[in-house]
Amino acid sequence: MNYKYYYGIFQIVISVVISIYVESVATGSLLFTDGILAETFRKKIVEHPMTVIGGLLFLNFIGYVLYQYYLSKEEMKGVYDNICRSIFLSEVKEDPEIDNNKTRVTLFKACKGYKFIGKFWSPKQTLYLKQVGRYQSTQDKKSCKIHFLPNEGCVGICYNLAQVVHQEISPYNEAKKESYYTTNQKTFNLSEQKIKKINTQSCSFLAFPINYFNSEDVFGVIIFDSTEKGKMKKLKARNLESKILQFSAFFNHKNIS
Amino acid sequence: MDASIKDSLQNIFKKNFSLFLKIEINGANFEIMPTQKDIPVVDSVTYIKELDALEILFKSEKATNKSVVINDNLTINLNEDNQIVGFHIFKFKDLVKDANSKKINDKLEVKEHNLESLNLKESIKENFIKRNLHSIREFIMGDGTQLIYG
Repeated sequence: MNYKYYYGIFQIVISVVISIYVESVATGSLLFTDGILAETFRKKIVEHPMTVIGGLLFLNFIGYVLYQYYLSKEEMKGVYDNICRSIFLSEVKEDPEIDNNKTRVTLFKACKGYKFIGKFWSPKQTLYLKQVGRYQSTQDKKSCKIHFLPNEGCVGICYNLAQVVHQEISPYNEAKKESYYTTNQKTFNLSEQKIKKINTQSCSFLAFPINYFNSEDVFGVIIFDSTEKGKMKKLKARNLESKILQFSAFFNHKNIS
Repeated sequence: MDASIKDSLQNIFKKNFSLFLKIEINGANFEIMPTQKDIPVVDSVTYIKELDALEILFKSEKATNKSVVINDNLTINLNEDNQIVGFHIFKFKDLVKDANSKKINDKLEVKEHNLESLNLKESIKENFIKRNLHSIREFIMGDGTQLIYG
């Protein structure tokens, strides 16, 4: 989504509305609303120019604040994608034992929000991990649709333990996909609904917790996964961790939002 | 204290804290490895002649708060956050003599708990203790003797 365009359209709309309103105040009648709005209401709007202009400017200000917020989010996503890309290129790409097309690197960030969880699927405020960056060499790039709760999935377990976690499960087989779902469910504590949303059926996982810069608090998790069994164990975990630590200054938004 | 002895112990810790060990989570076995910041940083390794004890202290921002006596040979020092900040190994000369036998394993061991009864935090802590004690045993079997005999 390009927030620049949305904000541009919003500003044009506000400018047009202000211009029409100024013209309306000058002529003493609210333009283009005859027969649409009640006469008394139209009169009131024209009689209170300061309030209406103030309201429109306030709307513009809100739009600007939202634009800046989403813009910084978008920029950080670009940074996180690049971090994944850099780690992949330096530590995975050249490894002769790893098939680049079957491996990817994903960065998850811990966020706070409401999720429908528990026995009665009632909304509860909880921590969850969502994808903020990813790199994979195949062109069929898809974002992770799942938000993992702590202790859910290899990502959630790694977040909970704050330790480097390695896990292997049986590879996905189209003819025996139920078995893959069951293993995932048992091993990673994932619901069937979530498992079915997984777009790449990986079976080898290596996850690293990431701390906020200069802090003991966990920012999120970076995970390497492959559809080939046993491959992630071949990666040099300490080297990967050192590489990840080189980017620690980017993990610096202290407040979990 | 000989700096090379300290380095030798530090390297053993680094090696053993860079291994993946199995841990049970949700009934499934996972392999976990501590992060680099969790590797203990050896502050000092001293043989206290009067006590016949090997003292290993880790660098810690918080001071030692309490000691847990595991057996006649082993005491673990903890800080106020219950993090391990050091070890005292008593009857050290005898241990060095037994260094190449299996006896040392029994003497420097925290008896395993029933894993199911441990919560995740306790399992991680136990995992850390295992790595620490394994490193100390390896050290005693290697350069440890130098502390007594030079």
